[in-house]
Amino acid sequence: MSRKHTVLAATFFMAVTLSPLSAHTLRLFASVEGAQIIGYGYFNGSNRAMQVPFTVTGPDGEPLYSGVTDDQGQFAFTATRRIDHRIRINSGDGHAADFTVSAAELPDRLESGSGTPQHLETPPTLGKDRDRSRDQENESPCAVSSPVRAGAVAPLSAPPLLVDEAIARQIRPLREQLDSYHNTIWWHDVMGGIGYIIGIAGLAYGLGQHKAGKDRVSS
Amino acid sequence: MAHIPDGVVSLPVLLAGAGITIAGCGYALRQLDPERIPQVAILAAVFFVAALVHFPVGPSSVHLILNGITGVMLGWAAFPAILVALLLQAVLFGFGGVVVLGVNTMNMAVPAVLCGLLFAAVLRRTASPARGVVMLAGFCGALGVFLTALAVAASLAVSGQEFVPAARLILLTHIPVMLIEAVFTAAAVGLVLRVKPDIFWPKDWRTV
Repeated sequence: MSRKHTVLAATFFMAVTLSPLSAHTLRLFASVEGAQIIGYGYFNGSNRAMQVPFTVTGPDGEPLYSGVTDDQGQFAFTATRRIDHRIRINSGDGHAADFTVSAAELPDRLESGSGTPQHLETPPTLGKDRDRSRDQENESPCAVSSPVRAGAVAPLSAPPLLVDEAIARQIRPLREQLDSYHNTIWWHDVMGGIGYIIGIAGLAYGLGQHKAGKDRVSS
Repeated sequence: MAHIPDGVVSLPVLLAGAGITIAGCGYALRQLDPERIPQVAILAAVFFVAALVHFPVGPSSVHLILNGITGVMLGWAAFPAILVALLLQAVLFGFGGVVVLGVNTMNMAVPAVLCGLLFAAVLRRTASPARGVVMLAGFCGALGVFLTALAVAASLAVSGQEFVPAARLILLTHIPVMLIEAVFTAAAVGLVLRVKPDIFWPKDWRTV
């Protein structure tokens, strides 16, 4: 029975499980472009966390901003201070995730003065639409206080700020990929887990038999 | 969402979860017959893999839990089985967390044991397994998910979240899971009853 049951169960799961296996938990990714912090919440590669509330707090817990992700699971706001921004999303049913954007990623020109972040109207396209939109996207769509506009290609003689922002934008897909790989579950993880279960069960069985043997001897 | 991640529930809930899990596992291991360990391992493996079967429901994402069938087949031994499986899920998959392991185990294993007790109680009273028993197994499959959803909402509520909206959200999103698990549990238990009825816990349900 046990073998048949296991085969049934195993086939059922293998047939239904999507491949490659992906994390089911809520995840958060955010990156910096200039003074904008943009990001998205997701469950796996293509399953975005839509209309989920998020909050942003500073290093000492002071609330900086709060909002709701849009229909692509994206959010965006402008940082006005060069401090760690801790972004946290909570979907209200036990799913929660956080991501900290460190102060080092934000541009030097921001001071640690007071100021509330501004919400952007339309965040730049992120995630899987990245490749398609990369050719068209060549400027930030929001009204940022910064006087410079980052182009798709920065000439070598460009000011460092332009180069920084251009590089940040070009690296972002790589970072998203890293983040998503980090959260992907591989078959070897599954096999490792099942191996552990078999091992623990064998140990428990052996110890149980040993104890039964001792009881028999002593009685 | 059945797996609560680290950093969501408050300390009293963590302590209560840890206490109940330790007590449940202690009781289960004391009366566990070593001959049943292979079955415990198989169901722990099934439970471990079940969480990988996930699908989006509305704004959230849910996965199979299968604590109903684990409880029906193992009874109290569902506690250590679910504890081990949840620990491995936390470490290898990143589902749930290690600090919150006790709470998650309590939320999933207590409903499992309740389903197991219910099923065993009914099974003892029937002379020969009938269709009703298979339906009951299906009901237990759904009941396990239902009680877990309530327990998760309660854990969140005690930690400061509003109970009614959280409970409604979790229960609604888990309705497809309840339906799938009801069918799966009924099918699996029906098969087992035909092929090897001795497997059920407690071992001597037929003689009582």
